[in-house]
Amino acid sequence: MRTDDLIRSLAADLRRVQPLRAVEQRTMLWAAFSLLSVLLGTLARGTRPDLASKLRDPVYLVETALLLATFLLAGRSAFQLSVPGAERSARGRVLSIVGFLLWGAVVASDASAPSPPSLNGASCIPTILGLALVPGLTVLLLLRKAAPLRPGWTAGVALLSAASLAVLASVLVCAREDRLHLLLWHFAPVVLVVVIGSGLGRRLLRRAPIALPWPGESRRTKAGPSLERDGSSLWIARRR
Amino acid sequence: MRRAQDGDRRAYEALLTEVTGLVRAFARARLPHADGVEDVAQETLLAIHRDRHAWDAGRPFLPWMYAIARNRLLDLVAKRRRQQLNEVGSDRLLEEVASSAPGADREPANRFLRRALAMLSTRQREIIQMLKFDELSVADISLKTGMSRSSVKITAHRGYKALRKLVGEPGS
Repeated sequence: MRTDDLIRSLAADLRRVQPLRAVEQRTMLWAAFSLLSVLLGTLARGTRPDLASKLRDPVYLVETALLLATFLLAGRSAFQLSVPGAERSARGRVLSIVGFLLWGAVVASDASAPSPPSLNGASCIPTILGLALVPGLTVLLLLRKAAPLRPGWTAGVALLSAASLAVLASVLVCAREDRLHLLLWHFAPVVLVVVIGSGLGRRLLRRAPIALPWPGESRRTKAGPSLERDGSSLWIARRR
Repeated sequence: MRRAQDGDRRAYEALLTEVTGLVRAFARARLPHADGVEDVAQETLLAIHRDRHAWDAGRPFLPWMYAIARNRLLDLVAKRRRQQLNEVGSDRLLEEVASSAPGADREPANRFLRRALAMLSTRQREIIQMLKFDELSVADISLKTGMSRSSVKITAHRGYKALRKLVGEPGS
């Protein structure tokens, strides 16, 4: 009976809603917007002087391809995770993580990297974070509008996507190639951002609560109704 | 669901009624006790209502619905685990409230406890009184009040939490 009342109340409260676009469409729109914003940021910052010759270096091309793949795979996974039941397997998000780790492995094992390594170059961190800001904020805003059931994973892969795009742009800007620099100031910040973002997933993707309130308490859902529960009867008070 | 997204109330009511049966069966098969089944069903309905814009008409409805039901079920199980852990601490707290209350002898402590209890909601006070003073079991209280067992436990837990705040226990 109680659940029947709830059904009637929810039906009475029904309003027309604008459905979200398909996952693929949202991914493509966000990716295009992010690429544009990062491209503008990169041009504003100025590309490295040896970019033309680097674009003929196969290792450099593999590195950029891995970062691009990470950006696309992680972005798609994030949007899939934001729709209940849309992610059929974890392959996409695992592959995106593997892609980024592979980039780290290629950087770490690059025999042509100049030595000696140095700890200088922390200025790359603000560059990467600055470039990741617009894609990162927009993807989180878009995901909040959907229905992510696993906020930790969703925020984690979303930020991995935004940060890997920023790292891709940073290697077009930063001419330093020693392994320690790349691992410490390009790879590690992304890992840190992803781990922190994943831990804060629930806060970053917080939505209207759906727990049933208790006697004397009432709340409004995102959809509008105020829910009240009194003993064994549950009803929805219509918005005044 | 497509019609529900367009605002068709009849279609929505029919859909939710059908969903309720599916979710009940889903929860019943996974929960050790039947008392959480209705909670899972209701929370799933509320989540569907909140997230109905997030269903993509190009995808099948059932995987979407079951993903939400599974999420609500896991959430409920986790919540109950936390409550059970908290209840042990809260039970002990209530028994210690009188002795930890200001005043050396028993009477002021009792008065303090009564005052603290009086500040709870009627339902919380009644449940705690039945549990701690009348020494009734959760099942007995459920029978007596018509509340589900989980509701009794949750109400008691909220009451303990409020009491902890009222007596100013560190960490509350």
